[in-house]
Amino acid sequence: MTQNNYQSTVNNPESAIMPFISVIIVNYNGLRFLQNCLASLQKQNYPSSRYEIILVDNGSTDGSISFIRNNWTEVRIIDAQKNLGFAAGNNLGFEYAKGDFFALLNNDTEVPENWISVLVDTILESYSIGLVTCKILFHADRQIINSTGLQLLNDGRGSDRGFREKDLGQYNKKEDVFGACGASMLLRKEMLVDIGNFDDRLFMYYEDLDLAWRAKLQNWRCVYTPETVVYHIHCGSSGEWSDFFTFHVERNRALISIKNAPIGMAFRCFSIVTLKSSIRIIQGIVFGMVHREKLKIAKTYFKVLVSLFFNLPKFIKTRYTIQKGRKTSRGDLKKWLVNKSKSTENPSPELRRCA
Amino acid sequence: MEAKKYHEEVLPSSSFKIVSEDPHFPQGETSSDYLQFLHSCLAQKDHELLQLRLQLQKIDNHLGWKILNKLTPPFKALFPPASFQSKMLTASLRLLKNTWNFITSRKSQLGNVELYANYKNWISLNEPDSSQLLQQRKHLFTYKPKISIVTPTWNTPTHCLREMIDSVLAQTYANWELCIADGNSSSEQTKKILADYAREDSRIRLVFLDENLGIAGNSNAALHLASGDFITLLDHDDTLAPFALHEVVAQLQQPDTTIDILYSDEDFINATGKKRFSPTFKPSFGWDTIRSHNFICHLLVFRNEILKKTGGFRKGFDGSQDYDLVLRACELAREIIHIPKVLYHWRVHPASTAGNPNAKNYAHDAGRKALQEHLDRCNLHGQASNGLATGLYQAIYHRSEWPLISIIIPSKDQAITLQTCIDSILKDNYPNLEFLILENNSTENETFQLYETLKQDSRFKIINWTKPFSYAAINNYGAKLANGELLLFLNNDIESLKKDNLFRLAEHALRPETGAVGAALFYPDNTIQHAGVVLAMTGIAGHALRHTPKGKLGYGFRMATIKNVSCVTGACLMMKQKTFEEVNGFDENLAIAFNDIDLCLKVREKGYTVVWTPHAEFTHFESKTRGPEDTPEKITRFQKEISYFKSKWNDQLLAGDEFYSPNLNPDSETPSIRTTKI
Repeated sequence: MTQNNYQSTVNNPESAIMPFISVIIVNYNGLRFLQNCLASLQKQNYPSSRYEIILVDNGSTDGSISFIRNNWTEVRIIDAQKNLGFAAGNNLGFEYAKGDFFALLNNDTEVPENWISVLVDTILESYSIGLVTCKILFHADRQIINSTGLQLLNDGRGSDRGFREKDLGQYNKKEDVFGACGASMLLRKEMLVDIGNFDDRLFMYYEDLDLAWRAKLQNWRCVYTPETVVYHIHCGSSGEWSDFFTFHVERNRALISIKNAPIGMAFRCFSIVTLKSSIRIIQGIVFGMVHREKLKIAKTYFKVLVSLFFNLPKFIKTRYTIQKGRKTSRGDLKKWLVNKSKSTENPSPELRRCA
Repeated sequence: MEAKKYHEEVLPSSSFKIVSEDPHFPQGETSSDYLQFLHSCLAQKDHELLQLRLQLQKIDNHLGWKILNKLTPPFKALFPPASFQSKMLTASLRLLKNTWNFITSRKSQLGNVELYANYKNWISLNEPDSSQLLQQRKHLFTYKPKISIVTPTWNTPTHCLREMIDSVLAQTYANWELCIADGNSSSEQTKKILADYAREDSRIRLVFLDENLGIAGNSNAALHLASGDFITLLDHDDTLAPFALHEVVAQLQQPDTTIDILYSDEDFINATGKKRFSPTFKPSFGWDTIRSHNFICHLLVFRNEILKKTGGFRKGFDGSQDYDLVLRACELAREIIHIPKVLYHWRVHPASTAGNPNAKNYAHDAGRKALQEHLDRCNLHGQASNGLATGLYQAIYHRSEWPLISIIIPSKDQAITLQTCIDSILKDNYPNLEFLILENNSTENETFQLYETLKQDSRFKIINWTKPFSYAAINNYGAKLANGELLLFLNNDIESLKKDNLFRLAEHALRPETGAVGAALFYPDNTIQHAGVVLAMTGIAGHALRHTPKGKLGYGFRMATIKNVSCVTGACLMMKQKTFEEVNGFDENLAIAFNDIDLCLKVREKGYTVVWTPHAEFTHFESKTRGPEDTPEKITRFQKEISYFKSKWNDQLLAGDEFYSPNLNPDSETPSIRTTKI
């Protein structure tokens, strides 16, 4: 016997009100890109009263802050004063953001005018969607894909879907993907409360994959939409395969698997990284006298090994909490895993930030 | 001799204790009466003491005890308490126990159920016999709606098909039509039987499809044939009880009835169709119950307009297409009725029980998708997630901000118990808490020391309540002083078992339609104490499923699903401050007993629902504080409260519990079949 009737709520007027969006940009010495990026953000067809722009400045030395103070008075500046990295920078932004949804954007991007509205429309389709990502193309060559969402390789690395492929409409279908590329994504605030913010212990690289993975374990969907396109300048290649990059990517790949992966996969990833590091170190010792380069690599991998073992206990503890609360079965991950051989060596995150 | 000696030693302190502890002692009596009372108390205690001492002596002289005593020192040497070895030992023992539980639990997932013994008896008592069926045939209804029975067939075994159609032909209500859509069966015999039946009775309408469209497509094709006022679904190998449609139509006799959906109980028949077993006696409709699993199943009758509006079955929900349809139809329905009679017999095939595990998983995922779409359609901000077993779900209502919860704990002494309770709650990840500890005539020093340490944390408030203990009054007082949007009434002998307990309670309490939320409470021996209170069970109210081991699903998945219940216990009860004020809090006429039941009934009277969730788990060390109800004073008060409650909620007690089937025995807390006629 129930009179509880949902006819009225199906067309709830509340849903007609546009949600408030906080656009968060993490900036580090990105003065040369900001004008372009902010100008494109201002031209959104989303009502300007329903979104705010927050710029987290990681202690830029090129006068980014004064530039924005003088030219973009509507942008809220959060001065972190030192380089926090991508994860902690965004976490700081979340604290100050007032929105129902958080849109993350890199500073070296250009967005079309429907960027916010398409992302918001997509996330409002279902409450189970926690993350939305869109098509990201290179700014220089607008035919080549940077990312259409993240995919997880079965050795624990992440990669961008369709990276460096020509955009021939092969990714023009709205679908569920494993994760969202940090260059442009929309996040649901409730999801962040549920699964927690970015893991700032990772400092840089792979934090978006980690967030997506944790979201998947709690049944949050991540949806890719091709209806809006972000152009990414991709200047960060300056740091590609530098020591800094190798160190963080190799270590973080093992650490996030230890946190999130099923026990077998976590063990495999951890062994791969330790084995690889050991081999590189031995190579460095043996051939170090002849090839100076090898010695340098050995040094980086030694750092990886040391840092990995120091961080291990903390991450195993986190693993315990995450796996205890997870709401998906172990088998659910299988459909997201991509075979390593099918994918070329293109770890995603290096393209994202202009260091 | 010995006893007497002991008596002399104990006498002074014991007599003082009685005086100081019993403030309810009749004050006006003369001193000689009082002395007599004391003496009688003393004599009683002496007797008890003697008994206990005799028992102790028996134990001391026992051979087993002597051996155990000899073994203790070497054992302690090997495994000193709180050392690594002893921890390892307890861990491995627990592992062994869990493994054993896991192995044995395979046999019965449902836990304590005594259902199968009396089913035959129940059938003969409660179902109409041949003469009553004959009467039903002659019965003239004022409203005679046409009922369409929709059946998709595909390569049905012949005897099943015949039984199915025969069961429809045997209906005591005549105004029906049977709409069959055959999905291009490869067996010619199936087609021939169908054609033969259709020729014999014009009420059987038949369509042969050119191809097999799957269960959803075939059903939709059959739905197209249906022209009745009401539509019901019948699977091709199941059967109807002969009085099924009669019972359905009997419910619809009110003029201007708003009933849009009816569902009944069901049972299983074996492959030959001779034996009936495992009846499913369902609760009344509740939104939280249907969002946890598809408990409705069969027999399900829709008003035609409702079904037309939903557009029938949808593709993409294979295995859970009925769950999807039920959710969509219920959203549109004005009133949903449960008929507590077994009207549908579900055939169990030996093959289907083994089944393909993958198919089961697909069905589960499809069901979750259906639930998610329902939550999105209703704009409930809910996330469909997996439940505690395959086929069970839970709707999680996430929030971006969690309001302040005021936790109200009445406390008297028992410092260690209170400390355990508070520590376990503080481990919870909930960000926004406030504790109101209602101090009530404590005497022990440690208690006040504990209060002093607690006071240093700004979240704690210690409130003194000097009047005699009254659970209702003390909690009302606490609620007045609370600042939180949510109130959590908690006993001091409760320990939280999970870190997200408060989220799981608050997510339901914050929904506008919910009045009160209860949690799963377990005894220290890991059996359940509280999985929802059933009204009118064993007198006034009982805890259904009590003592079912943890990890079982319970009859009708009652221990594993979020569900609507009549009442929840006050030992752990969360509700909105606003609702609490709206119903004027606890009724202070019920000082100790049944005030929580009364509160829940008041809440439901205002139109709110009461929810029980298995995803918030606590241990309850029952009634350590108050002691048993044994003194004459307490018994009188208890009787008074019972009669007050009975007079206040007479109608509700007579009507029985909505969410507990009348076919189940109300005199036993373990679900069992009623042995008397309803």
